[in-house]
Amino acid sequence: MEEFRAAERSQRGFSGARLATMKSPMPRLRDFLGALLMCALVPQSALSAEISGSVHETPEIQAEIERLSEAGFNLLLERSKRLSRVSEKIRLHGADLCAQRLGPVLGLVVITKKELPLAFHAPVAKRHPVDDSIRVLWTLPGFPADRAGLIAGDVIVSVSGKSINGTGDLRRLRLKGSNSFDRSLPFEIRRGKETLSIDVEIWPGCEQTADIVISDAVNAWAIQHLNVIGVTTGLLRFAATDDELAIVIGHELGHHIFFHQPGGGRGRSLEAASDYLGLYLAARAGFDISSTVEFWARLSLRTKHGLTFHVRNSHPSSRARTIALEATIQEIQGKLERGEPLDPFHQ
Amino acid sequence: MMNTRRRVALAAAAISVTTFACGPKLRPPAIKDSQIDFEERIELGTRALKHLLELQSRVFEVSYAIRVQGASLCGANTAPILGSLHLGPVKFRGRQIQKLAKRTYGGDEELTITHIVPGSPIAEAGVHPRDLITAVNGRRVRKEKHLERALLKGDGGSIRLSLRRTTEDLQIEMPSVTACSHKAVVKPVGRTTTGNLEKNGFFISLEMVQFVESNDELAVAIGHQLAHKILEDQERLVRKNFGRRSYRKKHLELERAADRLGLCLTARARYDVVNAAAFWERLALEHPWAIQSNPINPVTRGPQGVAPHAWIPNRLPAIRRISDELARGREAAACDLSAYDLGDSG
Repeated sequence: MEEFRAAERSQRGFSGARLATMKSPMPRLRDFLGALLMCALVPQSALSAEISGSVHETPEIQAEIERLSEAGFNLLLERSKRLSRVSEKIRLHGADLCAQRLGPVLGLVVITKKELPLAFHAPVAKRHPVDDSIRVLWTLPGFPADRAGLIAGDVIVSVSGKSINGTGDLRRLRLKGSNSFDRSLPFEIRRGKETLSIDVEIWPGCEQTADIVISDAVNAWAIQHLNVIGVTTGLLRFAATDDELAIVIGHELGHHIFFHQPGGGRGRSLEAASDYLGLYLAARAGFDISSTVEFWARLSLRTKHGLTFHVRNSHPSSRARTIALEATIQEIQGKLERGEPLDPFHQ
Repeated sequence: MMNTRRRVALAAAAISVTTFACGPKLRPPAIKDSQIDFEERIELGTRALKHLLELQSRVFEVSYAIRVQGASLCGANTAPILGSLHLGPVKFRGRQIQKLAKRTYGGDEELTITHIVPGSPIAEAGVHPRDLITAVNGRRVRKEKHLERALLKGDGGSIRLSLRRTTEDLQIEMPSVTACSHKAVVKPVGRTTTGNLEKNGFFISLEMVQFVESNDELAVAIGHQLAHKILEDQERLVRKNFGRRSYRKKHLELERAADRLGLCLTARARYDVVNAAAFWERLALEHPWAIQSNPINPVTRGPQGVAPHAWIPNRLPAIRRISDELARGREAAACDLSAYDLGDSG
């Protein structure tokens, strides 16, 4: 009963937070992480009483739950892989635009119990134990983690002697000061019962990593204080090709770069700068940017604020923006044809 | 290879540090807010409005068929219906879009028709979009609610319609059609879901309209929510009995009943229900909280409130069974409202 009361209280907390999130995407992410946290914190006994009530007992129902969880988890994993494929490439090729804010591009998809929706515990448990450790779920072929021989199921214990206790610690790995001239990062890995030391090559890239946010909204954010690009599952559904996804990730990474520039600008002038830099970032990573204008126009009709022509619509598909995007695309394609480097600082 | 690349990147990083501080600045093509002038505002708004009206029309067309075919299941909650969509029900936030709508379609005083359902009596009477409805059954109408009231005052057999097309006035008489009075409204809520509205009606979220891949899937979602509305009316009659049940049990029972009745409504309107289970499954996979956890347990229900049309025990197999039966033309069981034991005490 006490647990139930606590749950009730937290429910109020949630809805309060939810109201507040109408204005900014940040609390929504917090909300999401909070919910995952809640899932992890509630003792299994409290849940099993709810779940294994009379209605859940037949084998057919269990089989159905199993099938759905498996399918849902695979869907999320496929999306994580896709996001990783696109974002790691962009981070890597944008390294010199990110100035001194560099981090190692690893090409890793990791999980931890805390951030895994409850429904996906079972499908993961079939492959690896579900616990608080940071476990490798997938490595991006050809990228440092894969080249160093990390495999699915490995537990990342520490990097450069610092213990890794959450996905945040992995995200906060940076190349600066003492380690900025190192060639590899020493990883301590637990594989089964053995502990291995693996040196993972350092490929410097922009330090911001991309993360999935489970939400129906078609949206993505540059979350400054977490140093993360949040991409919703709704957007991953909407962006049909990797090129379209690259346009969005480039744009958000552009925001991150501009946050750290003196006098970076606000509102639509910031959007304009991020559009510009975002296209460069996407093109550098080898993505086709020719569908950009059409893509943003389509997107502006998919979002609530875009469709209701609300003042809060930060990405209007306006004439000025269209002209600016087209000019940028032309500039980039010109440079590509002439074989010049894609450097946005020299036109 | 990587070492070279790394060295280049680090050297470039060092250069850009100085570049950012004192070197050449980035010169993106300039955009100023003032460059979105009034004229362009209208242009952008019109584009958004057109898209919105397209979505509205699609939902109206599907819901029209379901409401008309399901009229016999709606009990007392039926009313004559026109197969036309008017500017009135475009209820999106912001006055700007309403103003734009008036600007684009004209008709400050009267109801402007934006869409006509093909095959409905009003279509066969030769009415077009952009015609203005001035009076119904001899009563002057200016708003949607006037129209609804005027339709109820008819003699039941036919509807007299006064229209204005550009400058000429027309009088039209056409047979009356009865439908469930619950309207479907498109509402942007940020989630892929459907829900009841307080008065006569229900909403299909904007995200849901964009999520469905065919009109058949849209019909499944609309049928399900209309079923909720019908059951809500029933439930109101038997609330006393429900009071003794737990909320959870009631939720599960209502959800199951709505699935069954919803499929019946969808099938009656001649929409394909064979893929209904696949549609709900696709929706469930998008919401991990909907799969295993108890949808109404506040701890496991996820960050966005109750998982939209959550998986409930044995839901998909049940839907598959019902849709198979309906596809084979046996609709008696699902469509017999008296078989829904909502009045039984639990």
